[in-house]
Amino acid sequence: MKKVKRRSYSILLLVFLAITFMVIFLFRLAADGNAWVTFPSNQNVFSGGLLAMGSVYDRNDIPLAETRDGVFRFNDNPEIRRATLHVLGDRRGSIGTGALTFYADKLIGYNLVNGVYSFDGNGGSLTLTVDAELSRVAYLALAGRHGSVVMLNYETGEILTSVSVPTFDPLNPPDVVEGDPRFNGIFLNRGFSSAFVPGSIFKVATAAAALDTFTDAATRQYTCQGVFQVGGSRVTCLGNHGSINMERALGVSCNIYFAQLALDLGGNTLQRYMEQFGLTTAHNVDGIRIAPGNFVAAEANTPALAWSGVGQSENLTNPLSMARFMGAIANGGIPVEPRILESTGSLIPRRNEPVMPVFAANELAMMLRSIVPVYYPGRFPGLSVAGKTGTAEVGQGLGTHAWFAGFLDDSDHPYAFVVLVEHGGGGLAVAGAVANTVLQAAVR
Amino acid sequence: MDQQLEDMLRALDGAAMEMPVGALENMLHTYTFISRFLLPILAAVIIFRALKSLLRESYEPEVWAYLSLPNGSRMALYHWENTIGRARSSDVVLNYPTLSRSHLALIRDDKARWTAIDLGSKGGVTVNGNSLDGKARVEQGDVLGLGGVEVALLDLDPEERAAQSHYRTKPGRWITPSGTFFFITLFQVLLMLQHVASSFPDVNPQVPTGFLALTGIMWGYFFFIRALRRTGFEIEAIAFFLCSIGLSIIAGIYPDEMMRTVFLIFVGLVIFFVLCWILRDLRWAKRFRWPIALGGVLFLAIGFIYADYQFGARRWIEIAGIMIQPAEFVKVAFIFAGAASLERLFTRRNLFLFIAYAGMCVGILALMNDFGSAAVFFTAFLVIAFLRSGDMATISLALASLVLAAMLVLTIRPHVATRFDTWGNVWADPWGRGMQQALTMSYTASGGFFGLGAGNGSLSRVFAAYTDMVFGVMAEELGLIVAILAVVAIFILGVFAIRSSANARSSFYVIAAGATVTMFMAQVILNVFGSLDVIPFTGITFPFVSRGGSSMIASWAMLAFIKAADTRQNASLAIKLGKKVKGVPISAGDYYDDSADYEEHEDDYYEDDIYDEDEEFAEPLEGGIDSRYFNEKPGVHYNDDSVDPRYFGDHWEDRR
Repeated sequence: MKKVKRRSYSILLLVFLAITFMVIFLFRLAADGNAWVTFPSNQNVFSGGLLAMGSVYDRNDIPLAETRDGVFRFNDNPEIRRATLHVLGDRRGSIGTGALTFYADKLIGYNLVNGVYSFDGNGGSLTLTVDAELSRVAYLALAGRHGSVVMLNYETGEILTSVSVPTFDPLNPPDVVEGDPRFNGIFLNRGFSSAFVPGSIFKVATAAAALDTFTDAATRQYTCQGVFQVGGSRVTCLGNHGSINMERALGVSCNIYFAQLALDLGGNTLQRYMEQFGLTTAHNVDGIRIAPGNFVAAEANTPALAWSGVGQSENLTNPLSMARFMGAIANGGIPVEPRILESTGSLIPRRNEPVMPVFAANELAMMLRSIVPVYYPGRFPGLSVAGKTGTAEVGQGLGTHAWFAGFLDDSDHPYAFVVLVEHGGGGLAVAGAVANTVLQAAVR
Repeated sequence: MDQQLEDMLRALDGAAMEMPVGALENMLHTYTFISRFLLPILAAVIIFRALKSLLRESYEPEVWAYLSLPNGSRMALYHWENTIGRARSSDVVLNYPTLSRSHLALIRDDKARWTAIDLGSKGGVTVNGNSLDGKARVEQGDVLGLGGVEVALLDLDPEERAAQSHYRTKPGRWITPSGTFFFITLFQVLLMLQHVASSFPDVNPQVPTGFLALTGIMWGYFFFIRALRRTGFEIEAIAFFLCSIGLSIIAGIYPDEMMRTVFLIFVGLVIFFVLCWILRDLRWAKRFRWPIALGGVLFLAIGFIYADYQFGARRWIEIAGIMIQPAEFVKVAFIFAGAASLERLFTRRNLFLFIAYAGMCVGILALMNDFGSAAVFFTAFLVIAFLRSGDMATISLALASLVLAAMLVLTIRPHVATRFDTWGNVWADPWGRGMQQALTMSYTASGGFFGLGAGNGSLSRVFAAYTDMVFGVMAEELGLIVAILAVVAIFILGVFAIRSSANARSSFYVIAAGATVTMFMAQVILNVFGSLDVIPFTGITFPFVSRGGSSMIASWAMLAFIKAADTRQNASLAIKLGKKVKGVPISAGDYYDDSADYEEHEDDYYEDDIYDEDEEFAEPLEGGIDSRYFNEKPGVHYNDDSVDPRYFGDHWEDRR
């Protein structure tokens, strides 16, 4: 009997097996439970595959989506619905960076202890940093043209608006046809998840790199004769600017000035600075991964290097990252991490390490501020705008991207912004006009 | 928690403001809100009581006889089946050089007759001087010569046995079974009210009556068994606890099946009772062994031929409109086939017949595509084979053949390979192959620790969730805590069965109980962790909880094997009580006076077991007892170095 008894202890292996499995499962539950509950077949949370719980408000407590008495509804205004679609997301989860999808666990009111239990069946709520009304203005300003408007507060990091067109009304989601240009990237928040050829707005980054590298950068002169030969190829400029300094080169957007500056800086230096400026890194906005830009360090004395300093070549820039960089210039070289959640962000914004020296930032800020009334006269009535236009060649016979990036030099409205109109034409006329409309609404 | 408090205050506030409009609904909501915290607490109390009673408390072994040694000391025989030899693994270790490691087996039968079996010793065995050839009956006072070492067999007379049963601690001594049943009743009432709240105002009348009927059956069983003077209810309490959860799942999804389910629980209970009755007599148990085993495999074979191919497996046959899963019932037959008494272990050392039997069962199940059951049977086979032979070589061979069989299965049954592919990758295809696991995980997370309230879940509406994904249903509606406690409950049964094997009478019961808990635990592991994607998914039931009559009845039937290994005094219906003996001093019962909550009346222990018709036991033994071996006072006569009479403390454990 003693033998049989001792052998029977072998059955305890099953107990240890079960304990091991249970521990594994509980760890997984703690780590991934929030993702598991957002499985659209979960009828507690979704109804017919549509999110059926939770409320999302804008910074002024305007409901973007609201669940009351167990009934889910969107904002009543169809323009606001379209304007905020990409930050809010749709109920099917098509827009991965939208709050309804990305923060579904929070909207469901999920936590490990309580599950999705909700006494009133309304789920949890979120307040976003975006301004619904401002977004509506930005959406209307884009007037159906594909593009993006991003604006953030460079002191707090709050993203005030991130509008992306094409968009749709989440109440009546369209049947998206693959390949139809009208739906090109309709599920992408361009400000968050895309990167585009930056064109001349990138000259600001080249200038910032030079200000930190060369002590004489602010006063250094280059000669522009309309055409510049490098490595057997030509860099062309829209004008023949003669001997030109940095401020004027920014104002007239002289390609040859920045091509020569880039050649003097070298590809590796530029690449290092672009990473430092956060233009080629993937930022994290309250958990949402932002698409990084792209900058390739070209060989010395090549046309590729020259064009890369102008914002062409293989350069790609993400609008939100550019807005963050503009904010850093306005902020004495210190970037503030953008955020989209009002409720969970800490009161004190995380102070970053400066990405450029204070004097360089201030010098550059002053230049961007002073070129606006001189070179873009009457474009921004009543606003203390600092900024730079961009008209990016995209090739393939398509029209240029129109950009305007900058910030308000206004302590009451510390906003950095980027406007992009895809294939929109000239930067100033198209993007500048959109920027003005949005900024006028923002300071009102 | 702040959020919850806020919710609750808002709700109470709302209730006050909105009176009387919606007041009742609000109250029901508030009830669910509060009771969902009470359910885990009650479940924890129930499980804790069972755990403490079964696993924490120490219970004394039974003494069946003594061996008086040449040096004048005595050694107790704690089992019906004892080996004597030099080896430390012998039940009685006699360290004389002339003894073999396993020299002799002394086996007692139901009628208190002892048999000596020479285990192929070198020195040989004599009985009263005559050489023993193979085996022979030995009587009280007979002198056994083991390689020249003479020991005398001193049986306990009925008075001593009665005294022993008086002194041995009965279950319920520390944890009153009625208390545990009371908590289960509360649990059932809370569940029932949650269902009323969740389905209000369209409450199906079967829901309250079903729960009430279960409570009634439970207490009816309690009083019936108490009338039979048994005080051990922890095992049944665990089963009733799990049945309550199972019934709650039914109430949420098929309220019209409530009464049917309760009836099935009742049928299970009856079969449990009958099987306990068979098992209480080892001769009967052994006699029923092969008929039941053969009947089982025949049933399985018939099932295989006539089973409908449904839901991916040929698990069901339909008899008179009732769906039956043969595999569930064959578990009972399998355990019967596998169990063996010590005599058999020594006389028939090879496992050939059982291996063939197990191979047949596992093979048919695999052909039926019921790989979950096949895995359970195979695990039970491994455990039985190891318990019987202790032979790692056999086990290794079996495992090796499993690997071969598994490879064969994976080649000829691609859908099984698919399950292995899906394992760990369910979120890669949550709407396809990984659907069941993804749903279970999602809904398990939904429920949190406290659940959404009974009847408020959605997973139960998914097809077959009430069997294979039942952990998710429990976790969603009743919370993770209750779901885990349901798993813990099964494992408490497992550990208890192993623990009680130390005091078991026959290896038959040890093996049967071991195989039973192995099946239970393997089922739970496959069911729960398969549905949670920790291991590959196989369709298998969770004992007592999964919907289905076959599973419910078979689970209760198997419980009888655990009950038969429970040798605590007056614990088990599957163990006969001793005979009534006059003349044992009542004063010996003083030990229990300190225990106010102990309900047992001391007179109880001396009454006849009303169902025991075995009269032989009462006959006076011939020859009388050599008074040298006993002190004057009955009841304290084992007061010597070898046995502590009152078994206070844990001393006896040291000697096991």
